[in-house]
Amino acid sequence: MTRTIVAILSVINIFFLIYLLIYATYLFASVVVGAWKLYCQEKMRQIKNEIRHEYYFPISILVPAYNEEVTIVESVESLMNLDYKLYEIIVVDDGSKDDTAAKLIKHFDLHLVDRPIRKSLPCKEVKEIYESEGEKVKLTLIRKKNGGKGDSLNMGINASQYPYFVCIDADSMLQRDSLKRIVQPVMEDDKTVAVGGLIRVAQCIMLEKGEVVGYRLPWNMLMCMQVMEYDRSFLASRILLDQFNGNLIISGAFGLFKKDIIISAGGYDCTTLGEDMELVVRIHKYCKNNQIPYTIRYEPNAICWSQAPGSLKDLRKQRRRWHLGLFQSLVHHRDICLKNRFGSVGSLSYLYYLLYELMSPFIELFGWGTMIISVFFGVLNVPFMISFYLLYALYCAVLSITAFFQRIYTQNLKISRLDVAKAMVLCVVENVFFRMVMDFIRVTAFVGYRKKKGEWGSIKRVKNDELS
Amino acid sequence: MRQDIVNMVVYLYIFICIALLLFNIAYILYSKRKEIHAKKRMEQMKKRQLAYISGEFQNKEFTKREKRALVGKLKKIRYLIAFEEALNVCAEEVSLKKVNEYLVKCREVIYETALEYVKRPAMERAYFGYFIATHMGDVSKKYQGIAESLLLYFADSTVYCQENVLQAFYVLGAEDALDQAFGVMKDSGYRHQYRLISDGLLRFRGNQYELAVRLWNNRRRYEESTRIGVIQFMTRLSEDFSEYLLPELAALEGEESFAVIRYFGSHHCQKAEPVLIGILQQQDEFSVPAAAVLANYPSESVKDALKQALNSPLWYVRKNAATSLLTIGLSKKEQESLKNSEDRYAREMFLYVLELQRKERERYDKNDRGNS
Repeated sequence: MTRTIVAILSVINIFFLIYLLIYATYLFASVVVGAWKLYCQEKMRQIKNEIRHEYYFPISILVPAYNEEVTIVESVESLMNLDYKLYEIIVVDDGSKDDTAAKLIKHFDLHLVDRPIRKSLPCKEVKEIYESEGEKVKLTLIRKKNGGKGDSLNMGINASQYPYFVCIDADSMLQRDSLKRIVQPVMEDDKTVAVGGLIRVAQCIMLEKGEVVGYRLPWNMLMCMQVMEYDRSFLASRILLDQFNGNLIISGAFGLFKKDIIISAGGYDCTTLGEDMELVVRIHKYCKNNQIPYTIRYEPNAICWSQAPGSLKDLRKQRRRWHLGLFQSLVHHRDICLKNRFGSVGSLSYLYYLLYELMSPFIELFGWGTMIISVFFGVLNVPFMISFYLLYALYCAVLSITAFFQRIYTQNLKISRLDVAKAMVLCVVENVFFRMVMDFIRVTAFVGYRKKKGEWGSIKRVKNDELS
Repeated sequence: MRQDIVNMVVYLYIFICIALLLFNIAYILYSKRKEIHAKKRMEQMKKRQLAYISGEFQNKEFTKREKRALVGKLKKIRYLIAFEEALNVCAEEVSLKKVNEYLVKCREVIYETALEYVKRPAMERAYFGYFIATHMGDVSKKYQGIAESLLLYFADSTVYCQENVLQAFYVLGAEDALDQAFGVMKDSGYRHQYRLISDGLLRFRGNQYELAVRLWNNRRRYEESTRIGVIQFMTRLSEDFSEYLLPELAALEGEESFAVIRYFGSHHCQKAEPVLIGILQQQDEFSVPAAAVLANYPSESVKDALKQALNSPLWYVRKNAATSLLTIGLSKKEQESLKNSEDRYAREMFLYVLELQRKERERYDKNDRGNS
């Protein structure tokens, strides 16, 4: 009996070693490729290898809003002053219970119009439509019955008049040049059907007229750790996946899409919590199935500053939603897994998200369980395990800090010595403790899934000028 | 054994990561040092240029040795950058005219350097294209021949290299080179954004009408996106190209047909009217721009066709038809009839566009009163 258990534990050990080695290699490859790509981009920019053009093509900016009265006016105000010649803003009020619409109507002097909407995609019924008059940028507010974020985005797509649209969260702010940057991949290659921007934590910066005038790490530990996490994810992992058109996520906080392809693919799915990921996977599937040449790109110079949750309660709600969204998308599109037709998207990308994003908290939990059993049967080499864990944590910390400084350097941001010290400490804390907290949240995300699978949960918003 | 392997791998990764961190730090220090060196190089170049522009050598030509030395330097990208920056500084400190005279003196040097860059990577060729596009506009007559060398840059190039070299052709007024470049781009499978092409062609420093006719006549040798760019370029010129484009309007095919239809919105051509009405009545994707451009053809037959188009199943056809009808002008009776149309979709669209135009007029009147 004992011999059998020991044999099983040995097999499990081998599984974990392989699992961790693959993950460590992936992390390493992503940081190296990310750093190298950013270095090349910087060099190319210096020697004028960039498309410089005053006007590219018109864009519709879609802002779905649900109970966003705290930030909506400021966010729309910031969108009004972007460095781009022709664009419109469409705010879709998804049946808010607060004064989101009233604040917009009052601030921008919007007028009720009787506008017919072309229903290319299904969405809930329109209640009222308001439009601005005489503004430099046309602003439309659509009040509709509550149907979720995907439903609001579908409504925005229906109402948009331009061939490309950008979706942005109501609590996010764009840098002045973000639109110019996000269209660059389309100008370089018109097979590009979607472009993801870089999401960074808004609590770190002071933004004046769309320009970053100051950067410092916040004192809130939770936010700080999210800064490290975002930098590692957006500057490393996504750049690596971008090399083989393998990104399965374009953050809902900032992404550009070609409208006709999205309409043909069926628009946003209103039944999932991760409508952003679901859409991207569907674009991959749609284009591959219909043999449409396409690329989905990631543009790290198109920056969107988004509010990170400041409390554990809010973070839990956000991450629960992300994890369930990931689960729903992967289950819904399980047919792409390991199918030749979908190439690296169905193999590398899908398996990565399945094994190292969706299942990793469960695998880690299983690992802890195995350790306890191993101690019980006396087959665990405790000093080795401790040293291995410390080495692994140090390894991840070094990668995080590399990604963090890489970004600071390539964006020409100035940070204080205190922030450097904070970053050094936090990258270790993030990898040891934050990771465990995240694992716990992700494992418990499924508790009550059947009852609450469609619920988003509200997150406390702060006015943008009170962030830093 | 297994532990040893794992340890070894983890240590190896940590070593590489630390190396990466050190590389980052070293790179930051190196960049700072590079900046200092770049500044020094620029100062040296400026000193040398000033000697030829307004100093001791201003009436002298380059000797063979000097030419060779300068080519030797400029073939390295860092010196070309310094040379370019120094030209900007000299133009500010002395005068643009003097700098242009200096560039004429440098003609042979730049020609030789252009050939040297054929062997360089695409990103460096792109920079050379940028350099020519930025500085040779005023001395383009002296630099016509350089276009031949720049054409070679298209082999195994990037979108940036293509764009910068095309920019150089526009400022040089190199008609032949543009024609050939568009052909080479098709042969090499490069697809350039049509907006970049049409806007670029408008910067062409030569006879734009002749260029448009030539590019139109050779359009079959170009890629579709280039053809669209050429049609958009023709649309934005004041000259009339109707005789060239009218046959295309009758045979709609592919993306470029949208550009052809839009051309007739900007350039009125009576012969196009029945063809455009025919396109509108086809009720397909081409009917959308046709409904919009018919606003430029005020006649009873157009009005009738647009009124019918208000009942189209296509949303954008209805919208453009309503806008065009109101642009052409409707009598009160006609307006009332459309407001009470039995087709709900036609009625809603007409009322919405009517309201939009009323607001637009009100705003215009308000601004007008404010100005007076």
